[in-house]
Amino acid sequence: MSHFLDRLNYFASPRESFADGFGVTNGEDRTWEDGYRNRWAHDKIVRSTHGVNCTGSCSWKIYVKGGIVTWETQQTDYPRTRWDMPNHEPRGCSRGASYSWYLYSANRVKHPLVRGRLLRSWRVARQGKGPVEAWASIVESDATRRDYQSVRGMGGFVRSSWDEVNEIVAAANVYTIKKYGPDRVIGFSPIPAMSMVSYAAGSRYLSLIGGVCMSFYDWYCDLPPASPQVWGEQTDVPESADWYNSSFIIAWGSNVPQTRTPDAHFFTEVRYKGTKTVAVTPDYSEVAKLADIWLHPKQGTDAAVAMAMGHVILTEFYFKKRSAYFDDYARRYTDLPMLVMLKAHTLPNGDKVMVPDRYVRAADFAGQLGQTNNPEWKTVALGEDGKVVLPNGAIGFRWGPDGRADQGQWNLEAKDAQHGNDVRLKLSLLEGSQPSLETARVGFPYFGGIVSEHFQNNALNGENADVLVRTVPVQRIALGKAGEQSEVLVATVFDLQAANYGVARGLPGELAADSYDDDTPYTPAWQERITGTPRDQVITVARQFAENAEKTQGRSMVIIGAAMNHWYHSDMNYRGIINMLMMCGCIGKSGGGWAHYVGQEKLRPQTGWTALAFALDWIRPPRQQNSTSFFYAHTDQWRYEKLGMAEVLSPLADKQKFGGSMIDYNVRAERMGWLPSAPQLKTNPLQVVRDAQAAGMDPKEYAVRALKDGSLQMSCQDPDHQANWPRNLFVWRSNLLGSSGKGHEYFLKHLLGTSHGVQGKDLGVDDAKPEEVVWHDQAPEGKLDLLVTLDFRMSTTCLYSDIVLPTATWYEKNDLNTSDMHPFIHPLSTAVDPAWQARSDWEIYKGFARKFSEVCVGHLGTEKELVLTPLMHDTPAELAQAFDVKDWKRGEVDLIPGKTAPQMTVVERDYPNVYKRFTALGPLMNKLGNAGKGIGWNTQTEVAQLGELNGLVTAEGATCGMPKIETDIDAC
Amino acid sequence: MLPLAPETNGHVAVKAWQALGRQTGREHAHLALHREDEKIRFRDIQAQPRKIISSPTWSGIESETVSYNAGYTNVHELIPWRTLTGRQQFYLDHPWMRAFGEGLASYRPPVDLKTTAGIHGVKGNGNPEILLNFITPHQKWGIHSTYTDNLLMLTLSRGGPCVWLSEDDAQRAGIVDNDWVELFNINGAIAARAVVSQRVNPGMVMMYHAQEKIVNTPGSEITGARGGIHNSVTRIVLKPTHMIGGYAQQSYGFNYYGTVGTNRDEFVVVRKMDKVDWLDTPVADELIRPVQAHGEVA
Repeated sequence: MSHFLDRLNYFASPRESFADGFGVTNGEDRTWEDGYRNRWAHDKIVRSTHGVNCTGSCSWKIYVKGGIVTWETQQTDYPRTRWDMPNHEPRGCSRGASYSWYLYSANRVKHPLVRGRLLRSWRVARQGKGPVEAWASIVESDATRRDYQSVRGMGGFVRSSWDEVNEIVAAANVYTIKKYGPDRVIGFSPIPAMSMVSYAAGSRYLSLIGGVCMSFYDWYCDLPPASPQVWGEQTDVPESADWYNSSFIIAWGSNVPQTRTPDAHFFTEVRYKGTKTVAVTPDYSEVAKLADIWLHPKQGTDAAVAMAMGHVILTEFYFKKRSAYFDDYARRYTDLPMLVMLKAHTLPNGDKVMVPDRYVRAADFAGQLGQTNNPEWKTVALGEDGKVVLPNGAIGFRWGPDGRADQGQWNLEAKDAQHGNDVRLKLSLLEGSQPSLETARVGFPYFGGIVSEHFQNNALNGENADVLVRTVPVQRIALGKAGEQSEVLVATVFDLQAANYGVARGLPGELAADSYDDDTPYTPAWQERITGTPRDQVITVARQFAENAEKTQGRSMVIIGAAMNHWYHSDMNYRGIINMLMMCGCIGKSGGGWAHYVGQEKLRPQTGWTALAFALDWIRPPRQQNSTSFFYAHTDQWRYEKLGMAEVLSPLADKQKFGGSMIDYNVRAERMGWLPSAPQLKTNPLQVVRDAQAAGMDPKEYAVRALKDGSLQMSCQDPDHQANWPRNLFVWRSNLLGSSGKGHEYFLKHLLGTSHGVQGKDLGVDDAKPEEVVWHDQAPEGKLDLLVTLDFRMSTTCLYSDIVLPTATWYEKNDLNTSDMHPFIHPLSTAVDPAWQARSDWEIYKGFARKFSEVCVGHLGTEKELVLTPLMHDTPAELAQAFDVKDWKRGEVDLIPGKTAPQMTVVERDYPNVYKRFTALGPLMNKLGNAGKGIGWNTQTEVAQLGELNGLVTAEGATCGMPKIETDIDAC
Repeated sequence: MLPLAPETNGHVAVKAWQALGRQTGREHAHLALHREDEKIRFRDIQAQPRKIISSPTWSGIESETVSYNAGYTNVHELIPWRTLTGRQQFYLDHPWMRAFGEGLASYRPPVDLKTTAGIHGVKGNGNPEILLNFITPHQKWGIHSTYTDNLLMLTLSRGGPCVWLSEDDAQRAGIVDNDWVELFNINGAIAARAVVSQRVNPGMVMMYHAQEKIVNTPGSEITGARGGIHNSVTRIVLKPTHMIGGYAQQSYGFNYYGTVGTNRDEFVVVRKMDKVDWLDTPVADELIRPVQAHGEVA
């Protein structure tokens, strides 16, 4: 019935009253009420999540009505936890709950967009020219190139079509590979764990064409270098549910309710069990409100608090009394019993002291302690009887040929590898039936006295303001082959550590702390001056932390995060705290340990993913680059460097050997194979192989010779030379320029060549210039020819791009998501199809691959090129130089790829078949198997099963008969 | 991906643990045998999130007796840490670690990046200038930069870029809550509103990280350009100890070891803005050029 007729008949409509006239019924139309009734009705609920580099990794219900996403609510169906623990749900926060706003907002990128000035030049150039030639004509004209570069970030986008943008991208890639080399095509995308397939889409494309995938976890400064230093582990942390197993938690620079919102409930729940909580944050943060004690040291001085806590723990639990639990843990699981050589050193005032040198190795002894496999990589200790012991487990036992004598000794059994007998190692040389009676004065670097405008120092008394000289028990041991014997002074790490912390042991002239009130490093009184934290609080927290760990066998935990890790000397913040945890036997114990949460780093099905993501099924090795060094060089931030390396050297270092500026160290690290390079060589790596073939040489041998004679140069020596510029950059799943780009204005000035806010000048005539790097008086502006960004919202990075592509939102694609905070794997799903002209990242890169395969014909065929890779962790190459650092460029050692220089591999790329390879699982998984963290296994069964699951490619050609990877679900 | 990974395919997990056992000389496959036949596929996790299967890629395990905890298999399965000594290391003996004074842990104060000298007190706008340590914690109204341009989150916060400073410092600089302030050094400049709060320690200014310049950001007086993002006043600084390679655990791995992008040692000049310019005058006509349609000749 229409509203008009209702109104017309209002008075005529039948009426009936009830309830003594208090109620009336009539026949009026009530369909308008359906609007309210249906407000919460929906056609379907689909499970998805938010791929936003959030450790929360919450699963969400996405409500769809009439093909439109209406809202989202939290999922509550996580698998249960144990019977004695709270469950995970509900997980979510206000940020996630607001996501659906983006789908239909004005910020949504809806169509492929191209910078107007570039598109104009392209369409002109495309008249009568092929795509590659058209691109060449644009970037080879400085005027045309600068025309669009100089207005980056200033609007001016126009709509294009997928066909057109795919052609521009493919043409730019083909041109760049042909002209400069594939390692000038760069891709930045972070945190695969937040949407693994979307990451893999771009990295698979780049890896197939030879492009470079840029790192992110280190670049974001989420990576705590202290973790690989101490444990050889990138980062491994407890799930948040394990907080509930702890009985003493310090939240140290981690604002749990604000930044770990969906997990914070475990923190609050465990307090009902009586768990004590401490917050250490300079500001009165949200977590401070949840804590029993709030410490607020001056920002940036946390390591001083941690060192003082370590002082208390050592004093009270290793010396005043010896905790049996800590003692046993330290001997079995830490390097505290290992022997370190000492070497003589003269201080500037003429004082002669010893300083800690390297670990003693099996190779130092006559007969190498019976070791023929990697004796220089096996560390030693003393048994309780005072005899030298070679404990199982050093890294030398890890690598070697199958069937070797020491195979199976890479473990932590308390055994002597030489004889197989059980051993108990000496922590201190003062222990056992034959304690050492000798001591030495040992110098340790001291940085707490450095005078700063903004930070309070605590200077040492006396002449040696920057060296702590302390007494350490030592012993002489005989080393060397017959005829070359020598005697060296050694100490255990434990004895060195106790001396460094200033713990009094009653040794002659030891200059240790008399009491906690003694203002000497590293007592609670000493830290008070630097941090402003009252000593009593430090003593109380340290004592209770250790007491709890002793009683519970390690259930003391530190939750830690970016606040501690983003300092230049983050390693000291972290190691100070990790030391506390190791001294108290908390690592590897449920409810205890180091809980570092910064970024969604845990890609749980990692080894299944790497094969797909880096196209290891087709070509190995891929190109991977550390972003921090890359952007330092290529945004020319090195040209403005004011921090001298002498300012961060140890007062005990030989300053002559450690000269140069910051970038010089990076260049040395690249040419010694320590760090990766991108671009790698000044000459196109395709050309290097052609030159080698012309010279009738093996390309590797050719490259070694050419690097030595200087005819081939590494790009890192001259990052401003145009042959070494990165040329094409893809950004996806990221906001590089609006978020993580440290030195944002330098990016704008040098990499993009547009308007910027850099206020300072680069190094002037009078400033010392880097030694290893070519200095150009005029710094380049606008190194990048093409910046392509895929996003669903118009971010800062999009605004600065040349091409912006509309990607599917997190409710419009199929993908996978995992986190370190919980042990679950869960999906992103297509609740609705991508709106407007958006496509998933998988489809977008497939589109690039298809167009690339067409456009490259006539320019690139099947090509060989030389790939450089660093000496990789978790491979035998990690045993490179055992004792000294020798640089081939300085003539100190021969250039041996994989030992004193990067590894070199000749790989073959089939450019016209990039698309076919992208969409099929290649033969190397069957041939070489799969691997992760140094462990390899055969994977033929799984490849066959995948073929059954996804189907096999039936089309004739390079991939016929191989398992298909057509869709994003195939890729999962 | 899922069929190939030990975490989502029980058969692969067993194979991987067995492969590790050949290196350690010990039996580890018991950690996955009870889930050997499990295979997690995409449709399974669409139905419900699944708990992954214990794998030697990680140092914790999934079990009915303990929660996932790092280092668990090192301690309980006696698998060495992947370090030089095979143990957790208090001491790091590489020549560069010793040269840069980090063989053992100690306290090191923040470094002096010298980015306020030469600009502090040089281009005054009439308001007092103070120096503060620039701190960029994770925020409440966004996850990194996402959500900070979302209308719902903007409504719940100040609705644009803002920085937090203490009452003491604000008073010193003549700043009251919600004033427009400028933060700058030789790296660049930021324009934001001030949040003056008791909860901030004097000496520092907090800008919750990843606030972009795309919503409610006026021009900066000192650069003449639009105020920057939080990283406009930072610059990369490298640490040589992070470059060490080919030395057991100190070897390069992608996202695993290497130089990191630290940024908290930075200081900025903070002052109240004199004039707030939104830079919203139209661009000159001669800068606007039409784009040809397909097939059109210039």
